[in-house]
Amino acid sequence: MKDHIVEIKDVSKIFFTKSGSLELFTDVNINFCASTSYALIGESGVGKSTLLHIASGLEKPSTGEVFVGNQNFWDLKASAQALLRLNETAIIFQQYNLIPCLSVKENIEFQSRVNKKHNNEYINAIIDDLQIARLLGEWPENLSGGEQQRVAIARALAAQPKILFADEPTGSLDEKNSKIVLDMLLNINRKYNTSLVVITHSLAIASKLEVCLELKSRKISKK
Amino acid sequence: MNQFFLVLRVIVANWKKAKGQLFFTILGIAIASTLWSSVDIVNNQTIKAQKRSIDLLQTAFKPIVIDRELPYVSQNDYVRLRLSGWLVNPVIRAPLKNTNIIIVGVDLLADGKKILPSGKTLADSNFLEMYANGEALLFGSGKTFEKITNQLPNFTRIELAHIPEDTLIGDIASVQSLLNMEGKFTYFEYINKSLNTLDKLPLKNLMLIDDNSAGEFRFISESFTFNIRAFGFLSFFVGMFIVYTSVGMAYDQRRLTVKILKTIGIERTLINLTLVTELLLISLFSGSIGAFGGFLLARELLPDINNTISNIYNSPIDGKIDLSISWYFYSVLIAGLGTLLSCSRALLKLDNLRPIEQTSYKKFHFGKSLSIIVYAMLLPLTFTFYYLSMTSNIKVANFLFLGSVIVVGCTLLPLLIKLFLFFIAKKLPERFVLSFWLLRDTQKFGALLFAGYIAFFLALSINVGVHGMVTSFKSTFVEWLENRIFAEYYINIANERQLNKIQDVVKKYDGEAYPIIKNNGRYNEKAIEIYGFNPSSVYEENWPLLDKKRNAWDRIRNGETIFVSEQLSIREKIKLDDFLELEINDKKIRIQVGGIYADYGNPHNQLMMQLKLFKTFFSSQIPSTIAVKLAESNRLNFFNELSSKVVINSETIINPQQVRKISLGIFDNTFKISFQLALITLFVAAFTLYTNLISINKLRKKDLLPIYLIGFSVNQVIRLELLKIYILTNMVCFLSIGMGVIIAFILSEVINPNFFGWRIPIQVFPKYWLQIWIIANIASFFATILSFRMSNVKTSANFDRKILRSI
Ligand SMILES: Nc1ncnc2c1ncn2[C@@H]1O[C@H](COP(=O)(O)OP(=O)(O)O)[C@@H](O)[C@H]1O
Ligand SMILES: [Mg+2]
Repeated sequence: MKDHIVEIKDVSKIFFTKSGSLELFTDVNINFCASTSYALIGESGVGKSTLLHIASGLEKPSTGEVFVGNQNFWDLKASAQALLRLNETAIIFQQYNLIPCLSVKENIEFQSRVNKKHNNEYINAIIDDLQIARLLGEWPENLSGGEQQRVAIARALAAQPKILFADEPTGSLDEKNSKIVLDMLLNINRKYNTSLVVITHSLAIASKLEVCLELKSRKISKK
Repeated sequence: MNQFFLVLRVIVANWKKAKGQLFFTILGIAIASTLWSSVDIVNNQTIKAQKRSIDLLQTAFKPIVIDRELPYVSQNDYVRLRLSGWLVNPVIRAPLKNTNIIIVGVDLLADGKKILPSGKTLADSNFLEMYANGEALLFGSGKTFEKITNQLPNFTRIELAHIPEDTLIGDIASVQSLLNMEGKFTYFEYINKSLNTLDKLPLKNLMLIDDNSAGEFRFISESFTFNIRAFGFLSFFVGMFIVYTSVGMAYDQRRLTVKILKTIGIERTLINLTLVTELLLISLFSGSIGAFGGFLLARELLPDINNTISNIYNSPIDGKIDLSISWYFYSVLIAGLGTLLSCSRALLKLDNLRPIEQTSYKKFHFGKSLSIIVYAMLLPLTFTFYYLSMTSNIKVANFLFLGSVIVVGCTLLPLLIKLFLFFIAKKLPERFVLSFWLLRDTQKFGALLFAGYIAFFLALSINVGVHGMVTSFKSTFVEWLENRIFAEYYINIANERQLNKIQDVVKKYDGEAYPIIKNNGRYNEKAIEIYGFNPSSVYEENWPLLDKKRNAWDRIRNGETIFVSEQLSIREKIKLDDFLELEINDKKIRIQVGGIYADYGNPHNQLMMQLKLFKTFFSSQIPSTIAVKLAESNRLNFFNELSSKVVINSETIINPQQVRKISLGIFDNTFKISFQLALITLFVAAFTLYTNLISINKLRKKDLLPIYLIGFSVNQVIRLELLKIYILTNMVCFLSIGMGVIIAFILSEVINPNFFGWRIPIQVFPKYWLQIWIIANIASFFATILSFRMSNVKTSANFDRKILRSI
């Protein structure tokens, strides 16, 4: 059995809103292992994003525990939590992944320099793999959606995380660009042994990933 | 019409989603107009008091006719003067025995309006009736009457609050009998005011004295209202930035509504009309609050103002504030205009919205080209105003010049900040990515906080500028006064006999007397005051000359040159060594300028010449004042002998210490109010920053989200935000001080010479800057912290939740 990188134990999440409480899922257990790729599917509104936020440490579960490596994430101080997020995990969304006031190159190097894993060769390889060399001097706002997502992936990977969470990374892209971005993600997963968790609506995409998890009726199940 | 109201309803409904902005808009207008209208009230009260006080002063300093030798003039003189066509009023003025109260007797029928509050006549009250019934009336303030509760039982007392303390006014006949001066008066007031052509008195024993001191007081109060008005204008401007940010934000949120309205086919003008109507309604409401607030604030400020005014004029203004309907409309009108002005950008932005175009924050072509035009016009305009203010008599040009320099400063501010941060970031080694990002993001943050920081910039720089000018003036003035008033006593001379007596007393106590003699002449078709004096070594040691040749004092002693005042030299462009053609008492003289002296506080053109030279024009005139220098040990005895034997009332002996004290008191009070207003303005600027921070909160969260996601804790992100604010605030402070020095420089080099006729050497006040700097930092820190609390950034979960959901 492979090492687990992030482990979700008996996690449930309830939102308390004006119109009452909303229970998204109960007693969910997932073990995200090293160099494995996961798809997370489910209907809109079931709580996939929320689950991903919990797995990446952005949101606290109502009950249950989240382990990153061997550490119980929510027992840590805020600064230690931030350090774990900085070093171990990376997350990308449909948008707002890039720092607007930095150029593409500065964006890619930023995280890796902050967490002191900066490695020029490694970064150059990623830039080549993602075919974004010609964009390096640009500002994020001048890129197309697909380009932005590729830069976001490069930025996330440059810091050499153990696991990369992606919340519908291709949701706002057309079919062609979706395929390019997804192929690159899979390629990277294989080449650099980075675990991958992708939320997607597309069963076609899901079928390309090693494990497919479905969130349905408050439970998670393997497909 | 129907359509108008429908559209208005849709437009107004937008506020439901922007309650915060509506609140801040109302608050902003209310604050701005509170400051403006309070200053307006204060100024109006000042001007009102000034008018009446100057009337009073001019009574005291009206040209008077006295006897050349006797301490009184007679009924006989009066009759003969009137018969020869001289318009004079007899006055009795004497100290009341065993008190320090001055009792004045006037002709109630002729001079009654002098006693009563402005706008009332004797006939309005029943005084006339009482007077006709033979009652002896005595007017005075309550405080004065308290001092003499048991004296003067034969008089009917009438309390009038506006009569200066220690002064009583009564009918001339009753005062005559009280003082045993039947048939005698102290002097006649000369009513015919045109003094340029000196009338020849028909009676040999009488002489005419005039004194223009009232003008000097008018100057000081002018600079006072000027100062306050400047601050009022500034605070109004700063307050309007609150409106600028909150309306800008609210309008961004109603873009969709406006777009839909346009798509439906509502006319552009109709939409604009409803928008303007809505703004005017808001400003009517908020302006009314502001007018009321201004009234309250003015009431808080007025005790100090009162103090200042009574220092200047020795007469308190009544605490009652006059408020009229027209004043209220005026305040609301100003509020409305200010609102429209500060919202014009937001209005233009909505006006330019095309129904088909995509919603985009950046593309605002019209605004861009407009601002480019404005920038391009700014520099030539500034130079034109400068040129006009230096060469022409157009006074407004001075202010337009100052204003355009400030506007240039405001446009340069963001540019300078941007460049500075950009270059520092560029120089950083590659591995300092965090600092690099910090600088870059600060740049962006600063651009979003444009309005808040411009408000800060204005508040700080004008504060530093006005403070620099006023304080420089104060210290220059004090030093000058110290030297100028070198003698221990200045004694006004009434007649020749008195002069001789005084000189005897001076000799007795081993003192030195320096006569000063004054008359009028003409230069370049303009009236000037000519002083004759004895340019002894005492003057040489003490008199501050701004500009002189090495042997200036020797030459003026020989009667070869004259000294001119700075005012005269600036106004008539007179330089050292110029030859002036003067016309004095129908004689002409051509004489060289040997020196230029400072004469702050005096609005008149003036020159000085040696006494002998003066006598060639006015052979029989006696000195109007003599300055007396005495050894310390002899002063008291001298004063006692002088006041008991020679001088009738102590008013004619001027104690320089007193003059100094009064001048400083006026300055101190002006400072106090200026400083209070400056603090309020800074506070308003901080509030502007606060509303600005809140309004950009959502945008900011999006900018910061990537940083948070990468792996920074919320606290770290917040600390970094505070650091950015700190950097920005300090850069703004730094630049504001630079701008403040420029403003002070313009005030002293351009505005003061053109308005008052003197130039003040500007000094720097690092201590004050530090003070202001610290206050600004504290204010911006609290504005930031409070805005974070307000938008719940502090609780870590909230930072991301809303944004995460929006993704
Ligand atoms: N912070 C929150 N507070 C209240 N309700 C929330 C919050 N975040 C998400 N939800 C609700 O939880 C449900 C699931 O959301 P989400 O995890 O985004 O679903 P998915 O990504 O599967 O579409 C939604 O109905 C959403 O409205
Ligand atoms: Mg989702």
